[in-house]
Amino acid sequence: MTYLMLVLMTFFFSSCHEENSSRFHEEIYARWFTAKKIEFVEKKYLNSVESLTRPTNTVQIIFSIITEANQKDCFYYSIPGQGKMGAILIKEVLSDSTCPSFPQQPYLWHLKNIIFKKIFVLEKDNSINLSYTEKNIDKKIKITLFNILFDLKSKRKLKRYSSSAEARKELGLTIWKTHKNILQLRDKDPYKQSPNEFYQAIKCHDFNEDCIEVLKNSCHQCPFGFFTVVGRNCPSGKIKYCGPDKCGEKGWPACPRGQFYTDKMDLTRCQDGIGGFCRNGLNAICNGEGILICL
Amino acid sequence: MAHKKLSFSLLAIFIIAVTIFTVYREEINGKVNINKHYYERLAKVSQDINEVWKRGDYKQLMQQGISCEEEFGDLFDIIKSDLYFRCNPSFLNCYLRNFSKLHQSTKVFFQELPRHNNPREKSFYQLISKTNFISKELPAFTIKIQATASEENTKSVEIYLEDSCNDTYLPKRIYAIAPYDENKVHLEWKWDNFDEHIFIDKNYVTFRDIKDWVDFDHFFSDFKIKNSIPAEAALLAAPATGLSIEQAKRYCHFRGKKLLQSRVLDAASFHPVALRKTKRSVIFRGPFPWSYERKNSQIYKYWHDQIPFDQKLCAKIFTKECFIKDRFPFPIEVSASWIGIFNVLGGYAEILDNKLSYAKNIHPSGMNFSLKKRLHQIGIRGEWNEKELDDTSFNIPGIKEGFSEMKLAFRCMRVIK
Repeated sequence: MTYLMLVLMTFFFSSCHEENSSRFHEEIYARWFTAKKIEFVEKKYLNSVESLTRPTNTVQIIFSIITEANQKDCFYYSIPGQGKMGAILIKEVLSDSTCPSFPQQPYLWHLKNIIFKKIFVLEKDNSINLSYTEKNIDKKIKITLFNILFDLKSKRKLKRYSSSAEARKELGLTIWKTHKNILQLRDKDPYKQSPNEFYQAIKCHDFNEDCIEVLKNSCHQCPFGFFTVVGRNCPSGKIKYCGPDKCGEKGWPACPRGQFYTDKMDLTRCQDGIGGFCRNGLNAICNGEGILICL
Repeated sequence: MAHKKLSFSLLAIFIIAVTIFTVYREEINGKVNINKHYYERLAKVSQDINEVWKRGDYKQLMQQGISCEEEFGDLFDIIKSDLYFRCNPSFLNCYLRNFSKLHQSTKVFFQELPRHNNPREKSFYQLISKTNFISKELPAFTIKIQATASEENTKSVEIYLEDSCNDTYLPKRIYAIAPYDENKVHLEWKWDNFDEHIFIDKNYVTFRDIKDWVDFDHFFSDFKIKNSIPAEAALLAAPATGLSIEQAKRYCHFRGKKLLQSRVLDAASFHPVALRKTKRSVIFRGPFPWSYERKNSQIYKYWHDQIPFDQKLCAKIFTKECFIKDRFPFPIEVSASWIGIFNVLGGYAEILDNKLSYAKNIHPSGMNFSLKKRLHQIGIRGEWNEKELDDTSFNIPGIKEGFSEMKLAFRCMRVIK
């Protein structure tokens, strides 16, 4: 009787394992196909033809992926050692947290008894490809990441006839799972502010005299876009303002005339006044903050 | 004996537990499998829709007996180009309304969504603008579609589509403004766009675009514009006229853009001759967009009475002579520039944001004037005081005769740093 029970239990748990592996694929597909960002903690593991075998008996973080719901899935591989099989561990943390070096339970996923082989991220078709062996059977998972802007594509060479649409998996296409609301309606009409308030340019990215960033870039939230001003040229960026661009008008920043004119005049400060221009009849003058304005 | 009984009891409990667990597991597993299947189907359909959106292939719909009359009237029979239908939300609306007819085996359903300012009217899309919504994830302007992969509405996605058809890139180089004058080369005013990306609308903003703005901008309150929109569906394809400069700017903001600047229109219009030499000190500029030649041009010859007027010239510049009293006289793909913007000359006069000479705020070349007028050249500017649309409110070089209504359209541009 005891033997019969043992046989039944062995059969049961092995079938559990099969189901576990299949569900792993299903679940990460549903979680990741609308992911926002992928980060490789250890780039040596990415697109390497070598399988991951060392250091044995350690847990290595491979990559993290930020899901649509602003969760960060940290992907680890427990490298097999003597008498111990490998395992994939996925730990869920908040998107602005870093993945812990030594993940503790509970895990989002724990796929045991596998040998993880390779991970390829193909920027050309916006996909992540994982391969591993389970019970001597090779398994592959390919997930198309529709919303991720990879460097290769986002830095695409723009030329005449190019459009302004963003190059994700498909040019201009973004997909979100409906149950996560990503839009927040503004509570007041940006135009309905008093004229002074409306036409007051608000800084959304700023640097001090030593080119240290003193205001983090939040220009993506500007209702009417943003514009850069002529003045301090810092290697890490330019001072930007939210608002309808009224550059060149009285009391407003001068309109940038272009990099060639700025560089040519060696304009590290704005006194030269040549890097920007104003409406006819106004002069471009450097203000106290080192910004060229029209008066 | 007692030991045997206990073993049997344990075995029975184990078998029952396994049975319950297996049934539960299959149910869970089945759901997960179906979820992935649903999402894969939705992702595939999203890609297909993006293709339909970009192609605007109205002939394909016509072959299937779909005329989109609700959206376009009889425009399918009038317009001979698919340019107007590309990245056109009305075209997509018609396609999605007929989706189940066109794709009977694809089990995907699209939800009708209320128009924000007119909830009784519904469409298969919504416009999402940063002037109305705060979102870190989305571009400044997109259209939203909602799709479900089952009739029970359990698994659904929101599909966001950007307009990837109707703007074109202005390559990075040094540009000059105003017509070329060999005696004033040393006084030329130049600028460059090496540190920014500029995209320009290929064509004018249409009444269709304005109608969408009116229906979807939560903060829209200018009912004078609303009343000027034609009621007839086919006429919505015409360029939007009758807006003030501030209204045009506000529309462009809604689309995540700016009103086209005068110097940028010049840059997009003058053929730069040597495309690869981006930092030339002398920038030669011809009067017409299709060539940098002057005297060999048909228009130049017509000006100097070397050739008579011919309707073929309307394919170059659509002027007063070309206007035939037709219901839809607007030509779409005429007078293209070196970067692919249309109606650089002729068509409709255009409102501009002139950052240098504020008062010179229009590009007057358009069908208000005959082809003999020399204002049909790139870089010519006129002044509009915004009071009226008749000749009392304009100051246009070389124009003395009166006109009752200037056809004044506009287009937008996008700047990405």
